Amino acid sequence: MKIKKIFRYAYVLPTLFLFGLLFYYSVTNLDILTQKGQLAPAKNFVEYSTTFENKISEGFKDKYAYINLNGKMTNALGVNSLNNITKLDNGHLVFSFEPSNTTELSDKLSQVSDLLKQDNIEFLSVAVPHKACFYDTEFPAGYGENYAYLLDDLEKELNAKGVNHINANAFFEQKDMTMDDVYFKTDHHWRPSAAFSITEEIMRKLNEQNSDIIYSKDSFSEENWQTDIYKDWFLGSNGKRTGKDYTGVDDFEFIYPKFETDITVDRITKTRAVPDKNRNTFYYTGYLDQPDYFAENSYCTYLGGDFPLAYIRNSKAINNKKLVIIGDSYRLPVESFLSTQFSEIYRIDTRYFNDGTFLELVKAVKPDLVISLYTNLSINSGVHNYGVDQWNQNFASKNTEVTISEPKDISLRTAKNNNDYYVLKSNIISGAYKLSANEVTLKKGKKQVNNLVQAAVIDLKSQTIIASRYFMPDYNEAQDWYFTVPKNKNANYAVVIYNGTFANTLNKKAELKEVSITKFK
Amino acid sequence: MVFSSLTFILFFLPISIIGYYLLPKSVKNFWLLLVSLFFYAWGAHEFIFVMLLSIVFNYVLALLIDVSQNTVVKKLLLTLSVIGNLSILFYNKYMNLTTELLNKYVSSSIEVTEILLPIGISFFTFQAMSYVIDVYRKDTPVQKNFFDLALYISFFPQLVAGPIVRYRTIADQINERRTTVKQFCDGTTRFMSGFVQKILLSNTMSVIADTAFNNTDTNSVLFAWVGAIAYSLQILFDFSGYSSMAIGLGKMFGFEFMENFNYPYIATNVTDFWRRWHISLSQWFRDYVYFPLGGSRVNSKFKLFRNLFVVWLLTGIWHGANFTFVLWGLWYFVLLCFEKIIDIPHRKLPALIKILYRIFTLLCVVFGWVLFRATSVGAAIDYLKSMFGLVGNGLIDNNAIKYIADYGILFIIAFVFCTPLFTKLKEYLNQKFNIGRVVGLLYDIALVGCMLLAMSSLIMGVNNPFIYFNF
Repeated sequence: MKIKKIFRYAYVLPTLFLFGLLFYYSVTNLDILTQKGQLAPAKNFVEYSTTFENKISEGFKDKYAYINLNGKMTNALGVNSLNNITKLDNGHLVFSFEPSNTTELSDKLSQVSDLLKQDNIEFLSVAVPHKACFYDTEFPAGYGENYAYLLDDLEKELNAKGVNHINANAFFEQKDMTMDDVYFKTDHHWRPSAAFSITEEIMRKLNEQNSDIIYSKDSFSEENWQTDIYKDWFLGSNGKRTGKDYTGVDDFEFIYPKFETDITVDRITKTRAVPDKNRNTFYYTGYLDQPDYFAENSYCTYLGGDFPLAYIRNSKAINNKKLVIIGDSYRLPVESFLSTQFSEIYRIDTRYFNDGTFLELVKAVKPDLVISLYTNLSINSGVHNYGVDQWNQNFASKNTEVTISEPKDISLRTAKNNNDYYVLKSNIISGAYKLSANEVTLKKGKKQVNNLVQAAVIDLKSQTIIASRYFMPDYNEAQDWYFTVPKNKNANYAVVIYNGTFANTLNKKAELKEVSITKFK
Repeated sequence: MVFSSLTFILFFLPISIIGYYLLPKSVKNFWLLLVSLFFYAWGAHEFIFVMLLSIVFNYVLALLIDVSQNTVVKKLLLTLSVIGNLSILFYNKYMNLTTELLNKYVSSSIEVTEILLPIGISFFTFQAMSYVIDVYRKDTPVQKNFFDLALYISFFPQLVAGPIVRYRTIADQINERRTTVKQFCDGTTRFMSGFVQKILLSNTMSVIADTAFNNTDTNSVLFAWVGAIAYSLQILFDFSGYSSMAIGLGKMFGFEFMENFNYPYIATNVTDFWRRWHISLSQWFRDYVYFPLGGSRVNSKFKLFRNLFVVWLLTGIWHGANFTFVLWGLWYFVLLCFEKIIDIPHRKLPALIKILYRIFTLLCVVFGWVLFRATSVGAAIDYLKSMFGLVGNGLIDNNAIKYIADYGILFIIAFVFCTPLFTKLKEYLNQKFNIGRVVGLLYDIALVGCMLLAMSSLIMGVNNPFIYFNF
């Protein structure tokens, strides 16, 4: 009888479920209405209503459980794509890929290579295949073709133009490395172990180009490196869009040297300069405490991710040479491995670096070699913004350098305000300039501290920065800065030295020796 | 705002229901009116004035028609109502096209208008017009309470995409309705069913249809067919899903609306199709255009075809300001004339012929949807040609393989849900084994699971278009 009663009233169950669920989520998502900044002031009611819907879906409580559910359903239906991610027959996830012409990139790399050669700077291009271009990629029926030929085309063009180049695709094929060996299943990035193999190949190639660059096979042997495997640890960016049940999760490899190093890092973040808290390591090991599939990106364990600019030093490196490396996020593990080989590395990401061009930075820091490491996905992206045209137009085409501010020593008082600065030279007219400083130090009391000192061109009228450069305080060489000033009748441009722009330089004293400014004419 | 959005199901619906059931009976209708106006204003607040204008206009005219004793005056007022309503509709929906055509073909230099289309204007305008006509015909008493009439016209469940509710069918319900628990629960399951149809079936099919219709030049024959069928399924589950949601929501507030779809793709002929598709619209045109012209009871074939022509021309125009819709309407005019001539609906035919004619009907419907979906007449012709390999396209391509391999199961599920198979199965099991309640419970559990899946799609922000929103 009781069972019959249950069935008689069972029709209320869906109603109870639906409204229970809706009330639960409407209450738990109420912070979208109450949290400041969640709904930024909208221009009108239509914009507000659109923003409201987007914000709910972005910050939905238990969102990831629903993504997982959706992934499960898609799997059950046998669908090979979800949320613009395709699942290959081998279970690897790849986002949609459109092939693009390689000629433009090979031209850019060739120009950069030629320019650097003029200053005796070695150049090496390293192209890593996107998954869709991997030599043995097989798409599900109807999904597309293998684009490995793009890497081969690029290699041919670069060889014809005399650019030193490594085709990582050919390397992987030669070593019989499979997609499982090279890539994370759920991410577009390569595995650190694959990056490690390429790093050794880079050193071998550099040594082949220039015997002054020491390549020691021993320094890459298994005995000298520790590989910690974190099982079922990592859900990559593709996996975050499809859920952990669509194709599973990845193990994560943390590879670090067993031998001694003395590595420090200074980074420019996208908004402010932040010196690394722990000077002797540059790994963001917080990602290795416990797995958080949706909130964290374990790949950023290596060097923390993409920053506009970072400066890595290692006094115990085998090569006392300065390297500038440019590229996309595929560089991350490679840079960490290369930092054991080179005493100084500047890493620049031109997608986020707004303080001048790549070439202006290279000319300023005067490296021994430059590496461009990228995946062919970013062929036409901001990753390959070398600034060749700007350099040729603003600097290379000019014959003379005229001093407009004679060398002088500057000692800046301790700043009490974030925005304090010292005006080195005002009423700067449009043109191309170079600022040089022989020595830069930063002190807190009598103690020397290692932080960044920022020089900038600002408009004194509007107080906006139009260009800036970060000087390393305990640098052993003269430091240069190439910059350009635009034409603007309404502005009064000045070159300033900031002392206190960022919280970490407050109450510190900056000293710069023999600071001068020259103008290119 | 649309039903298939997180804003609606998480905030608007719970608040509407809580407010409705907490408030005393005397203000329930006012609450519904308030939330309906808010629903309409959300995302398009400027259009609320168009709807308010329509409400006021029709309220006043119906009152005047009711109090007038003079037949001529009544007729004049009715004419004014029709002209006024159609003018509102014409200005907001067809003015852009009209100025473009005038400039193009009459060499005029009228400034091209960029009037935005108020959401649901076709639906609430027809609804309002039907009320005034019914008052004129004395089919329904006039509604003297402005707020109750406003509620009828603006009630959010059927405001933006129907069904087009006749005032006389819900006149009693406005003031005399009681919601039972069973009705409320039926409304919930109906709403969930529509929600699932819209999100899981229609939205998925839209991805395939959009790929096909955006690549007419390169589609293979097979993929052109896949795209056309996908669109046929998309529009069915989009529209019938929304109607189900509207009917379900109505039940939650104690209203019973008419069914708007009855498995149209199992229609035996085109005439039958239009008794199953967008029933409220075809009945509206039948009652307010076809019958007043004489309907089928005319003394000449010419008049019959004339009447059909007017109805289907207007049906096409109602759907949108594009010649593709006119062509689509006239396509059905041709087919219905054909059926009238050979008298298909009333003939006793052999089983094989019936089956073949059913397939023929379905093909005609699919071709019609190609006209409906295409952005221009030329694009529609190109697409239709590609379905028969007349543009030099190959038989099969990557897209065809990809979408058939990936969505084959979903296509089968969609085909099954185009038929009353589950309903019949439930009835059969109940009759045979008396396990109707068990089957019902299993259905409800499956519905709950599908609801979660549908919500997961919304939360992920996947493709969520809504076709009939544009009318």
